[in-house]
Amino acid sequence: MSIIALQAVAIFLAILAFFSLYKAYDGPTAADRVVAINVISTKVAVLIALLAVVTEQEAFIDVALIYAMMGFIATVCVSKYIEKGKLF
Amino acid sequence: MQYIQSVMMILLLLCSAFFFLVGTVGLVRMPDVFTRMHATTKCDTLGAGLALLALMVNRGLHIISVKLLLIIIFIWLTNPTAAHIIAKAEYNKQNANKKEHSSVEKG
Amino acid sequence: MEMKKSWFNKKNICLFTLLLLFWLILSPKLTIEAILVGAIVSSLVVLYSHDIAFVEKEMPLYSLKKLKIFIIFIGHLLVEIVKANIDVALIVLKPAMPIQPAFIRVPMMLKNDVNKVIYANSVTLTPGTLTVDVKEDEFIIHALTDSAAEGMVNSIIEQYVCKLEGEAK
Repeated sequence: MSIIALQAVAIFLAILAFFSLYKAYDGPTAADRVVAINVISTKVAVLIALLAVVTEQEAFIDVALIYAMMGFIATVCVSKYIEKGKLF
Repeated sequence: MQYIQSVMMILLLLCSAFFFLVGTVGLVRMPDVFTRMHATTKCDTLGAGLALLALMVNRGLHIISVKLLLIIIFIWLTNPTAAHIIAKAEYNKQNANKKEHSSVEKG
Repeated sequence: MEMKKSWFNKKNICLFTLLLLFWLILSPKLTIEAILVGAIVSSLVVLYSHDIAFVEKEMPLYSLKKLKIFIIFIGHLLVEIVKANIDVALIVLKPAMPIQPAFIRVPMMLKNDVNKVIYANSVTLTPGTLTVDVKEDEFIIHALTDSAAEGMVNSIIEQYVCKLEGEAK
């Protein structure tokens, strides 16, 4: 029962990630796209954690932690690039 | 006990799915960048927290629960910070554009 | 002699304990080797970065009394976050979307860098407001509705952060 609920939420999150991807394609300015990418990276981190519990692969939890870190670093880099036109 | 555990987990999962849905609807519907960020930051942060909390309820006392707690703390610290960085970049860019425009009109 | 004494102050021991705990959580099995390697690596990191972590101006270590205030503050913050989410859900799901976006400026009353970070992040998570920029003497905040902009003055969050700041002296 609980496994089915976890799988349903995982599928739901994947569908929502595709809607965010549409917004990242459509967004009029660069900042809109960065917001959409940030949303997708949070969703994917939660999705990986859900899959780790569904498939009972405990090592995937570490992957979720690292994925959350990478998403944050990507957001920081792209917004610095938008603001200054260069990274450093 | 098993029954209570799964009922609690499903309730938490439903709440988190609802907040993720609200965040995405806000992302698609809102008119400009700053208002979009209002919807996504708050709803995504709470949704991720509730979903990971549901997983913690499912696992009980286990090393995985500690790791999930670390992920929750990390997401709750970095999500507002990321929103702050994007908002600052966009705000400074708009201000710079406005200044250029006004100087051009004066000149 | 003095150099040797200064390695074992409160700051370094806190940093070492935090790093070792993080290592042990991430390591797959709790063996003697894991603890030994973790201790060596954490002490190397402490040696390398003792002058940039927990600097007094940026991040003083909290005493026990302030830790209590901090925990009560986290409780209030959780209630505010749930309120903020229900608020956003009501606004987004209405067909008309009643929003009046505006920028407001709030004067700065904090000196400590970490308290500034805590205040800015909690303003972002509370109903209808989003921190945009932190200048030398003011916060620039984007408000979603008029009532949210009025609610910024003297809120619960502000009172608690001032309490955290005030007892540092």
